[in-house]
Amino acid sequence: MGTAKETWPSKTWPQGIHLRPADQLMRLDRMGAAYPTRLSFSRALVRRMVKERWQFDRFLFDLDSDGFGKAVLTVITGRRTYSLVAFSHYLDAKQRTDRVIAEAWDATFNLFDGVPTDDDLIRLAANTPKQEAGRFTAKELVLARANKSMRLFDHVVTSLAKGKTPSLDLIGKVGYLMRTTAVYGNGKFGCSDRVRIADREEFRSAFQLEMLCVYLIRWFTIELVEHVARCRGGTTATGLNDEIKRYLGIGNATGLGMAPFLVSHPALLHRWVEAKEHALAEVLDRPIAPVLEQHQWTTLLQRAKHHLLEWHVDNILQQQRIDCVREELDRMAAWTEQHCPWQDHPWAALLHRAQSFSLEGQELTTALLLEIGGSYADTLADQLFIQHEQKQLDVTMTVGELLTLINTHYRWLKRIDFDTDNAHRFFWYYSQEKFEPRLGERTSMPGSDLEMPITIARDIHWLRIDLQRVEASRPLAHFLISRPHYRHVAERVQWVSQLEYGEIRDNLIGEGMRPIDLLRFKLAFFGASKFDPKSDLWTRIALFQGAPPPEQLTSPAADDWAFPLQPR
Amino acid sequence: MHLSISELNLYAQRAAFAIGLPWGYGAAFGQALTRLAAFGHDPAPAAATALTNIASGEAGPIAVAHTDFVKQSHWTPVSQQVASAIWAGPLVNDWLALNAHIDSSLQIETIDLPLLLAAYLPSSLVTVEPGSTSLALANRDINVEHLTVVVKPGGNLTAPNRSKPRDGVEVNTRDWRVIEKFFTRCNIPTNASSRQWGAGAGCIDLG
Repeated sequence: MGTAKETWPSKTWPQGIHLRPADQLMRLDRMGAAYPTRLSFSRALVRRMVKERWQFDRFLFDLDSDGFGKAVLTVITGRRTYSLVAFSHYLDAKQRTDRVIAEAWDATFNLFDGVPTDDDLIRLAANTPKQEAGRFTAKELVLARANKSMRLFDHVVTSLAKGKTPSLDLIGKVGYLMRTTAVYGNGKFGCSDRVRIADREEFRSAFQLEMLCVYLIRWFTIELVEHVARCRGGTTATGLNDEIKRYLGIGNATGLGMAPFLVSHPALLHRWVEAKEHALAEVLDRPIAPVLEQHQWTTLLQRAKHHLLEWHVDNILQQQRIDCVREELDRMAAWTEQHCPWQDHPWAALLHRAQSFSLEGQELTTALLLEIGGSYADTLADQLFIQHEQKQLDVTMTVGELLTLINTHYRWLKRIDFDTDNAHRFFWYYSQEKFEPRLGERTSMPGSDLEMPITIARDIHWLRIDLQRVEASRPLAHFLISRPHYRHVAERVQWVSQLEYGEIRDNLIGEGMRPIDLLRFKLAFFGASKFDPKSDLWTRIALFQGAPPPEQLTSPAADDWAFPLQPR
Repeated sequence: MHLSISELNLYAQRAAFAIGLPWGYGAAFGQALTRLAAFGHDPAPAAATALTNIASGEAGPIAVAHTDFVKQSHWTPVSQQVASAIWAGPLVNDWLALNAHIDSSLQIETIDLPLLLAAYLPSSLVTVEPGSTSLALANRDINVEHLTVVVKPGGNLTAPNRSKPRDGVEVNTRDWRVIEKFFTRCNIPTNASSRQWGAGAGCIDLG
């Protein structure tokens, strides 16, 4: 069975320090309590920008006084140049929606490999605004679109045009000028496949391409709002101050489409989680905390507390969780001050203390500990990729051997009673309407025969039952001849059983399953903050909130933007 | 028409599923098309033909039992006149795996697309001979139907063929539309109720 064994920078752990087990981590309720950390993809990207001194330039800015037109923003990494090609459009308010089924947007984008020629711009002008209905080439690395925040965008333009600072309260509440509603990479609609750029060091780690696109879009939104303000206000107009520019992120509306990725890329999923756990173990292993780290910890606690006080959502359940974590942070701060054994594995003691917290409290504590992580964590953050995702079905394995793999690595299936209707309540599918991913209710909606193959728990459960009916010494090839529908399931068992964190250990089609838990988990790895769930199916978040914009990358605190606080 | 490899794989897998093949067979179909593209062939004509052959009933599975995985094997279609390369491909790889290190031979009667079948195999390592009963992989001008393929293992079968066209692939638009039509059968028609189960349902933009 071919699986590339990816190795970490050499570390040995003394007795007593263990990586947290998959049975604990890979449950939906804990995944749905994830926080962004130092290893998040957006943090890794900004660190690289700082370290390698990437240069940014407004190559073309051809927008009218209302901000409609086209722009090209370039970034020179030292090795290569990339460009954000942006088209800004008039959009009727009635057409503005975050859904995949939207047909028009305030702005549409490509991340381009190099600098586009005039012919490229003509071609992209004809295709990019169409989004999924357009066609693209390998020169286009990413396709994206965004809508304005109606609450904030016009207010900021009006204020700046009058020479005034926009309402900090409103900026704090919204947090972004525009909101992406899709960011497509890896070959979608003809764009470049990941394999084409995977050996470029700046893009080897996970989602760096998409993160760069979003970072540039964020920069575009600031340039756009200041441009429109200048056009309206003339000499009276002013710009956004540095603090506001740093605070403004990019919003995002994330729906179901993100969830199947975690199921279909178990090697990557395992890599991300294992890296995070290794980084955490290194921190827990430290026997003492120097004064500098003690101070860093108390500062982080304070900042996280204020960040949580600024985080308000309409979703009742999520707001209750936030309220609970605020209280738990107070308890953590008090314990730190009174009891923390700074000279005897303090970080392990703090994590142990947090075990009595809610899941959100535990995961927030983990995120805070990882901030202490330093260079080892940062090294791991640059390695969140798989060299070769090898999966190859081994049909010479016997039925008995496959059964042993299932019984060893899928014991968690015994928690689920597949004989009940509740265990099969949902099915995931793509709609004919722009291929929008949707969730169906099996008993009341047609189409479950076309469901996406992310029914892992159920399929492996059935596979085990049928394997037990066959002589154990028979090769798998014989078993699969008359049961071809198990081919991909058997392959998955062989592949993922080698990946401790590769499987989500819950039933993804059962009653009580919340897609939002999958979304939050992946978004936390992106570095998203201010999760604002609108239903169990989608959430709004902010990316790069607190990150230095291009002109602030040389500031001393360029990497210190965890738990950003509203400008005062 | 330009396609990315990801698109080729996605559409192939789902188109195959839409006409009744299991997901594992669809995935193998996508990988075979990628290899065809790596050989320098436009994969769309073979893909469109293979899918249409199954959908129309003209081609179908191979009649194979576990006793047919021996070192000297002779496979024939189930009931149709022609065996589908999409159905045969994974099974041929299974036979190869079970008979890798012994002197063995597999003969398959009347495969609909021998070139497509060859793309399933670890192609740099397996010789499929040219002539009236078999096919050479190196000869890119061959485009025949309804031949018998003889497969003889040789060399190291454990090294997979990983080459992928890095800049995507150019495909014949007419044939690609055929594949797209099969692909869309995998997507479920929308209605007011199903629209409520999509992300963003009920969204009113106050953002």
